[in-house]
Amino acid sequence: MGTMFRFDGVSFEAPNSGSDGEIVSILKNITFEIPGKIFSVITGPSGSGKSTLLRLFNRLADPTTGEIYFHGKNIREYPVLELRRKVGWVPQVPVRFNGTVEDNIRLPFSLSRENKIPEDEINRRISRLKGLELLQEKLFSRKAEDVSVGEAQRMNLLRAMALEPDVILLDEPTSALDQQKAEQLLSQIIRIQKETSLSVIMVSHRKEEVAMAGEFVVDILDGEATVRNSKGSSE
Amino acid sequence: MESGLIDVSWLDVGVSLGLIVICIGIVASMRWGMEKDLIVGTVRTIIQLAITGYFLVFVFNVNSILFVIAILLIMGVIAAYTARGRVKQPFPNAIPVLYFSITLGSLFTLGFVTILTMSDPAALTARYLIPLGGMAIGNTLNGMSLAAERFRSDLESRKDKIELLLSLGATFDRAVAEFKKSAFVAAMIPTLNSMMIVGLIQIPGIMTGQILSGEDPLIAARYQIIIMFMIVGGKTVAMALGLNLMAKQYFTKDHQMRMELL
Repeated sequence: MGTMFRFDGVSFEAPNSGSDGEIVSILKNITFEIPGKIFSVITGPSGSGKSTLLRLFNRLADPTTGEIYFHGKNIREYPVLELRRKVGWVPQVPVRFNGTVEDNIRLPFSLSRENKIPEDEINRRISRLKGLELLQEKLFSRKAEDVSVGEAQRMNLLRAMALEPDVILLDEPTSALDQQKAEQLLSQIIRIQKETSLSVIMVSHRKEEVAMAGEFVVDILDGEATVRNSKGSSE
Repeated sequence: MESGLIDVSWLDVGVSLGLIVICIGIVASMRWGMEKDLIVGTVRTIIQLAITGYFLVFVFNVNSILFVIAILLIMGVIAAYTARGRVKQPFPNAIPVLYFSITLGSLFTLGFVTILTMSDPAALTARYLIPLGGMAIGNTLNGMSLAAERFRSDLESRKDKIELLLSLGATFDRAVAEFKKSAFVAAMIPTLNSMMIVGLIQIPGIMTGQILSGEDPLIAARYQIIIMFMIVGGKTVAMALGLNLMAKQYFTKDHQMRMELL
């Protein structure tokens, strides 16, 4: 398992949300490597900068200083839209667009004029996504606004997977669910990761999720990162 | 139809103030507490329109096309500042964006009407260009400020959707397309509504003015039709330009949302 992402001295500063607009340091000189094709977890208490860190992987934001490399190449050297198609992202709160669940999952195919994917290839991908059994097939024809939060979160994951990215970023995917439903969803994601050898990077503050999923764990505390060896022991 | 407008002197205007006195009397007796606003509004109306009247007399006497264009461009500046004031949170380059879109939209439509439609050298004089241009700029300003505020508030409330589309490889332009459309529609609805009922309930201002000044109602109607089209054209061009330019301000060249603005 080679290095997929490398962070090299990455810091991130932003004006705080208060009215004074004071610049605060959210991530401080972070250096680590994340291997590919495994389930990695970025963990830490709320407000430690985990979600901000996740947004740097697909360039929804750029670091104030430092560099990030993806498969050995600086992420700024990739055309940004192409990078985002390779690095899928599932936000914390599921986003629903008008139409059915399947319309939502097909949405990424209509977004790019240059990278038009042929219809039969789209259909192949949709049946593959149905085959993952993450979401019951009968739900695909239901209106997106009518499904539960857990189902909407699964829909968001399938939508991110529709472009067949190299890696999926998950921002606290279970935060809106109760303990039991959260575990169900996480074990499904773990199963899919194993079956497909997809690289997954998940942000979570729940210790039990880190124990359950984290083959590779990065701890974030006060904006600083420490890499743990797999399944808990500190490096 | 030959007789012109009945002359109204400043004394006659003074007599019409009787209406305002009656209003203030009613408001005071009902204790609705708007006396002060009514007085301020009345004084401003008299002063502003009197100045405009004297100024137009001056402009018509000078009657230089360059002077007229300069006045229209200055009106555009005032319109841009007014439109910015109506957007709750300022955005970067608001004045250039609003000035460019409102002025270009208005002058394009004004040029179309005076040069192509009227096709008479007289149309290119202050007597036509100033009132028509003022109407074009005023209406374009209303449309553009409605659209700009709606667009900004949609960007703020739906940034989750926009970022999700960006994360799926959409350009920022594609990610905000839905919100440009809803801003345009929201700003056009008042204009479309007035097109639907124009002449049915009330005779619009220009037509009223022309009829009062003794013009043939058919000519007045044709003028009014052209003016309605001018307003629609000005708003559409301004919003097409303005919303695109405005969208650009909220994103970096790398299709990242500028969160600090929202």
